[in-house]
Amino acid sequence: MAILGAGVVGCALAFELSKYQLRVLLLDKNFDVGAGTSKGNSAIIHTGFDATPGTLESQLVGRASRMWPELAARLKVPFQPVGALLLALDSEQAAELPKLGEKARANGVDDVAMVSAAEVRKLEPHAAATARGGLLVTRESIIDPFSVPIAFAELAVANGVDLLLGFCITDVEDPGREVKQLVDSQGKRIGARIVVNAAGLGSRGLADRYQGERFDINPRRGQFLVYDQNTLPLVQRILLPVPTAQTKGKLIAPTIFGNLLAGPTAEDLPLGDPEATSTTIQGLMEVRAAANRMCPDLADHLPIASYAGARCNCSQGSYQICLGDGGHAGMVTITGIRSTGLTASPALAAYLVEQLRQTGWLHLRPDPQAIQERSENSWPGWWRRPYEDPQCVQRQPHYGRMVCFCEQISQQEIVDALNSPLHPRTLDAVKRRTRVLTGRCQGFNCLVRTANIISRHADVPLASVTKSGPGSALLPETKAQPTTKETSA
Amino acid sequence: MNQNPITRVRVAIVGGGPAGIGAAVGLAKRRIGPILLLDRWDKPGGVPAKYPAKAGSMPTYVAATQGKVLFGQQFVDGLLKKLPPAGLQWSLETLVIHLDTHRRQLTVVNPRQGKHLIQADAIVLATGAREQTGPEQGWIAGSRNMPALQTMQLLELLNQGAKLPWENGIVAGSDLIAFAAAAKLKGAGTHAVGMVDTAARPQTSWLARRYFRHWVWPRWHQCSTAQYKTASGEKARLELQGGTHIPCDALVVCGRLVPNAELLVAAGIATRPPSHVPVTRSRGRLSSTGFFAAGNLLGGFHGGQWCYFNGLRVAKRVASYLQASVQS
Repeated sequence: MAILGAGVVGCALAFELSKYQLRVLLLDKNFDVGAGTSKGNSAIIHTGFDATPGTLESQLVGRASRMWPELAARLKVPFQPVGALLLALDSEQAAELPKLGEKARANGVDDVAMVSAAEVRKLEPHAAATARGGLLVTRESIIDPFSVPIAFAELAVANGVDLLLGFCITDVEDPGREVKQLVDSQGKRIGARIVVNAAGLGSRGLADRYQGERFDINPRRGQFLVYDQNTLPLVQRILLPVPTAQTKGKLIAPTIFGNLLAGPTAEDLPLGDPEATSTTIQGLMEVRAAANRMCPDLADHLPIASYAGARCNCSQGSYQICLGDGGHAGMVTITGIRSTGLTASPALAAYLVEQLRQTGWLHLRPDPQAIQERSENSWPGWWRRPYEDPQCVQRQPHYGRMVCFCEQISQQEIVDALNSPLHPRTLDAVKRRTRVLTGRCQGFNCLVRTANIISRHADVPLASVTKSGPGSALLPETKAQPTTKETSA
Repeated sequence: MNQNPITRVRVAIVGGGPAGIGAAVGLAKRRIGPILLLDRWDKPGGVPAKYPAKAGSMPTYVAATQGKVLFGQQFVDGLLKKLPPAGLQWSLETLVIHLDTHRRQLTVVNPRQGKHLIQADAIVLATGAREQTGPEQGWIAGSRNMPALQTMQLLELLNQGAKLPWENGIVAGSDLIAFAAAAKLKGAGTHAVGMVDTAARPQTSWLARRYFRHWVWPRWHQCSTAQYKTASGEKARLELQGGTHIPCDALVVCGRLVPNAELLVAAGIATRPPSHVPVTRSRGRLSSTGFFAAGNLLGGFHGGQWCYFNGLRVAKRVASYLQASVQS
């Protein structure tokens, strides 16, 4: 069985399947898991209070949001139920609030509460003074979005799933036969009985190869701004605007990392547009204006970073799941997992396994040795602050040798990340695991030292250290070998 | 409770660049000690120390007292010679993570002692400044894989002997640092160097530009916004407002210094947003008693020589403060 795409959905599915006695292969064209759509999001675990009631998305998001508190603890992923507050900034929006409350209850989210203007000021003293009232959604939570696919993939690999990164599948041959042939860009072939296409924005191109269901996807770009840690006291919980005809939800959210983010925009771009993850001055200005409207005190602060993510938008509706796609037994397509993929991933994976069981394509025999929990000491993780333990620095002085000044990350933490189960080798992969390069200086002080550590550790020249794999070297390209090594367990 | 070891000194100076060295020299002259000089890098000297004396590079540090232009490292070496042999201690690779304004205490981390506390009668903050990131500057945006470097990164790469044979290197910014970066790019093998900024003309004096002309004369572009674009099979380019395109396969984001004031902000010492320039009373005295600021932390854009003299001046303030607190 092969899963194409190691985004959060692919990784969650791989973990779910790894609990059974199956031979599973997880593939991605990128050089790290969760390096595509899954990395540019708002880092929120939704309750699904504003989903369209009755849809698969609403069901799965609702189910998953109740799984997360326990699951995050098992995955060792930082998670915090901070809650969300929908702000009504004028009377028109205030009139919408009861309807939204109804919708939330229809979605099975019953812990919502209407709050008055005075209560809004008490809950969020820095929110716009013009707020007429709000809707409190207590279970909306924030999470470390980068660690989620990593944790799923690490567990899957520990349970015997094979992971192949930097492997770009371009064709599916013999989709009608029992054993399908996956062909990569260099002509290499891999045989699999069941193929799950979870390639996000790449799923359309692959589905064309096996005459899959007609669906149209396109990247919907979301641009975000990140503010420095000193802005964290301005916002206690996720602030959301009331969706109206003109504006569609640009939120302000505290992050688990201790800073604030604002965004996203929603711009539909054609499939394959190279600008799908580019930021634009205009988009960022819109985000800034929207953030300042909800929290005027934020206008005193400059954003330190910006990013853009591309959601996988499907015009036939989100959450398209097609088993036996194109009439071929064993072909599965999952697409249109728009912006709730991070939240829904565990429930979606369980749902898919149940669906697969019903097809009778495979025997699901539970693996008694499968582990369900990431070990406490797999590697430090950015939140652990090893320098707090005096013995730790005594044993290994590199834990006291700070590389990243803004986020206070030591040299040994970077080495530990490089030694972590998936063996990341790119700057972006190290960044997502340790938080180097993400602080207020955006790598002004630590970029080259981090690259040096990777270079020494992987024994490659500095010029071959890349941001995200071949083609993204820090220095001008000279015919260098790819630095990232394929990982398989 | 986790008891962290405490070191007690008379004055702790955070930042071992020209301003911090100036403050130490000034205090030592007045026989104040022991002094602890902290720096988070592995060698003293701050930013100028990142400009080593190397064949082919250009001297950019004006040593007014000697009437000479020096390489950064030479300039720092000159300053270090002025430090007294005794009564002063360096603590390198030491990151200050917290200021306690009531106890006048620093929480620091280094590889030798791990996390520990430093208590001082007076604390001089000479943490310098850094360049604004692209998003902070707010006029330049673009693709996720933009090969953009900041000046510090460029310097560190070059100090390791990296070659940068780009075809079109663009420097964003036009101050003295930007011109130095442009010259560095040219020296590292970049074919054509351009400069782009939102100002109407380069933010460097004519005299300085003439000086740099010996190494580089970057092509000047003025714009209000710039968007970096790349598409597979196409040459990467910078799209300026108004639709002009300039070819660009690497971008160096320069200048627009912001003070490294995050410790002050977190400790509740008064600063002025949005760039958090510290609020000072009479030469470097900060809103919390016993805390002083010197050098580029005070905002603005100053060379090493100015910072050194400013450190000396702040030392005078610190000395009179210490004397007053002894008397009271």
